[in-house]
Amino acid sequence: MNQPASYYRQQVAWGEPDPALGGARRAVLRVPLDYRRPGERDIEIGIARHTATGRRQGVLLVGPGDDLGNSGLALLAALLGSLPERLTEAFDVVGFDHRFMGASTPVFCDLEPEERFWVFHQPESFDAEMRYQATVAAKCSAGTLDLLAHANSRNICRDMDVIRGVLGADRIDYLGYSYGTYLGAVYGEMFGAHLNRAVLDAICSPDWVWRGLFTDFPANGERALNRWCRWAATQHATYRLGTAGPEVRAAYDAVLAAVDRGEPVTLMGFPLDRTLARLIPVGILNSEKAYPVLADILRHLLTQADLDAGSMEFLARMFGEPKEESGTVAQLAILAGDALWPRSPALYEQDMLKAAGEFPWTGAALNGIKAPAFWPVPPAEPATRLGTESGGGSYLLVAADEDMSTPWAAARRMHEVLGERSAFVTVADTAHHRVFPFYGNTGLNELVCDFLLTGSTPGPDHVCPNPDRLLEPAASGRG
Amino acid sequence: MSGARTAGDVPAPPAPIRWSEAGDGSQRARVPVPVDHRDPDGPAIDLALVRYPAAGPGARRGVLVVTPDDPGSSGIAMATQVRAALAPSVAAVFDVIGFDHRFSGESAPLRWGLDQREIFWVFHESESFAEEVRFQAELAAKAAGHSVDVLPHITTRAIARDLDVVRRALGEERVCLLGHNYGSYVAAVYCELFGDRADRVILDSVLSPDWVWQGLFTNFARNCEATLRHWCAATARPQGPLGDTPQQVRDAFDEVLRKAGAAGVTLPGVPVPLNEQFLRVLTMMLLSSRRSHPALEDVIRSARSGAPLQPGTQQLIGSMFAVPRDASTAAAQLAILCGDAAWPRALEEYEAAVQDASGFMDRALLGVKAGAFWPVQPLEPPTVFGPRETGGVLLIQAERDMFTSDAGARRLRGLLGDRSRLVMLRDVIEHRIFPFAGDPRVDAVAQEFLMTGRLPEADVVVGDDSYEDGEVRR
Repeated sequence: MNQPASYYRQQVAWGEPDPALGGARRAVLRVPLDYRRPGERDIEIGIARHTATGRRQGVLLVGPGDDLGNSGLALLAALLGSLPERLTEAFDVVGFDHRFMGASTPVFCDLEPEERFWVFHQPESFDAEMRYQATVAAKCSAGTLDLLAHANSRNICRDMDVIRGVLGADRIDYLGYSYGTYLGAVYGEMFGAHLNRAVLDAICSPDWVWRGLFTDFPANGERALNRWCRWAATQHATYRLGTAGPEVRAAYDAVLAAVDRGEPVTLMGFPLDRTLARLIPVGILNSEKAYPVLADILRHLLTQADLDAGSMEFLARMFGEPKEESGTVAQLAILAGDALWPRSPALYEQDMLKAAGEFPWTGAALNGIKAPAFWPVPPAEPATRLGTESGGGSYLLVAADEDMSTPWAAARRMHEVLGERSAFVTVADTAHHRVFPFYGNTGLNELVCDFLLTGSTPGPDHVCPNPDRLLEPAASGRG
Repeated sequence: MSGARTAGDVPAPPAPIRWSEAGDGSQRARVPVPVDHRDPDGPAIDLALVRYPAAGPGARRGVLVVTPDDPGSSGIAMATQVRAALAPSVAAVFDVIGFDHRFSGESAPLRWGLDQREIFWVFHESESFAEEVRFQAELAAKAAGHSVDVLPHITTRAIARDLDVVRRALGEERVCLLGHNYGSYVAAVYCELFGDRADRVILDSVLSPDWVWQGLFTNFARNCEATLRHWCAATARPQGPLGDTPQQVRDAFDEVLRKAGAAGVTLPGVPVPLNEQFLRVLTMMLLSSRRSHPALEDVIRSARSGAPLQPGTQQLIGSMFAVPRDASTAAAQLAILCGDAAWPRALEEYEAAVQDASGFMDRALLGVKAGAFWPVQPLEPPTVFGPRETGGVLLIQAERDMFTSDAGARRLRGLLGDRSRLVMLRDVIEHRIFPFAGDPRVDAVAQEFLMTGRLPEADVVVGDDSYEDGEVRR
């Protein structure tokens, strides 16, 4: 097998329906490690397909992971439990792990537990942080560059097109979240003739690739945290964290300050360090449905009151199913592999100090120096220019107006860039990251189904009202 | 891409070189070479060449290409020095040719805006390891920011391929080569890649292929310390100004180093006070040739007593630092030393080496270097050497050469096999022997080889009898 065409024609063996994957069947296909040298060395891509339960209309490919480096197969499993029946009837729903993680030629590097948290790692000092991030880059790249030099979004999109070929589809439909939204946009640019409809939900800005993903976060993080504080203040009767947002924020900041001073602060007996004391709330704030969990945790930290059962379960899930190491490694390789990062320590130090002042919660961590600044190979090719005339496919862009990780403004940038090929839908008054179908907004879910099944789009800048909203809008993320 | 040629692989002949007279008896020209030799029709840069035509009388025998003796340093200047020192009989029959290697000198130099401290990155050290990490990472950042696209092509193997483009442009079937120090490595790589295109080859002050290039630093650190001990032994004498035992001399030296570290040392007649780092580098430079060993004694004596330096010492120090080092030279040096082979990226290795430092140059040379943060990986592994069908390789090495220890020459001699011979100058501290040192025995062997192609029957040891206290007897 050495010509590109033969990759597209390869026969794959489908396994038995896997109950852990919502009954989807797994298969493994082979793709070139380096598409400039097909046939020289192949890698495996693990995919899974849930065949249409009714009259089959097409293939709905689900992009990998909610966040970069998270398993696409795990996402498929979650989706199969939540997708409206109208879609599972009409579509073969297919997920995959992207190259170098999970079921797709994973790369392991013996990272220490602390080294897996490099994205949100909270600096003690600039020098210590530089050392830490350089070490993460060194460990992840040691002996792995023969593979990881080929980790980038364009190659993942080429893999997606091989998947399409293997599935026998001339055109695919697509559903992507977070990093998967970027892949959906790049795929449409590279293989536009083979993309029918794409739903992008929790959308990355096309301007982020990729340091911008980090430097955009702290401002949105503060906004999201303060929004939660506002909500927690409405629950004062239950959690007693304060009667106004700023009061709740002060309570959390006091805990943070204690952790940062090195005082022992434990969560269910588990010591919190300066990174985890931030990362746990970040993880929770991506799900509006988990708002009470954070309130419960903060109450626990302040008063040693027992956690309630729901919080225990949430935390057990969070710590019980940590991101696979190969996901962390591949994530770093892709973030460094799509575009060259600045490499000057002085620049990062300046940015870190400035952001630490402006955005005390996560500014230092995200604007400071990061492992991609030490990545030992430059990108194999330039980043994709999106929204050119050669692109294809029609897009439905979905954004929660208060989303923290992929803010509404980022989605708007994608809308601007994709132009008339895209329709834009806002879900009002929610910070939920990944709204379709997980948030359960009926209006949105109908709209997405209609789009994927018929191509119909709502009017320009449609807003889905939110009957489940937790609190009155203040200054909205929509600005 | 390799040097191996197959029947179907006949590169198009390059355009003939158009020489212009420089007015001093030399000629200048420019020859285009591809940035990426895998893509001969891709972007190109011009190499700057110098030629000193065979002066006559006698039939011209061919070309002798002198390779640049340091990464980044001017090969044109080196060829000019060699030509001036060559025996007239050799200059009569060889065109002597030099070139500034790719991305150095007049050959598309790198402009990274390096400051004075960065230019001396090789010997740079900081108060703390963290500070040095920052310094070296910043240096690598400049390389990435300015030149990430060409960095993978600034390698010794690319320079050797350029040399073959030059050979073809000259219309020569084969070329003779003379390389000193790093130039010996360039010439050896050429032999490995192009085999019989290399005619008679002289490698002088030889780098071991095992040193590419972190090993160069560790080896050098060891040699510096060994040479300092040697100097201490040679300097100790009854009623000597620094003491009558080697340990007393060493204590005197260490005391001056400490003083430089604490408050700086002022030498009468030297305008700037010497800090510790500067004094280490000055010591290293004065140690590198036996001829300047008395000057080191003078410096330490003067630093302790405040007595004036001898005029000769002052002159020597002045001449050492008179020529400011060019930022583009340092950039090319950085690119090659960090780019030929990947450096370790685990910072704890460097930190441990610095913590264990014992030799006087260890802190600077064993510490973290920009290579640990280099933004590209080598396109190909470092060159592996073996016997090749050259017209013969003569290796010339001073046994106590501080820059390139004898182990490198012995190692390469072993790898090159029967078509090579080693001339070892026993117990001599010298760097770059032929034709500069004026050793009649070495000159005789080298000239015979260049003129006739005859190598000595066996390896030669030039013994103590031709030397007095390590100096060539003239």
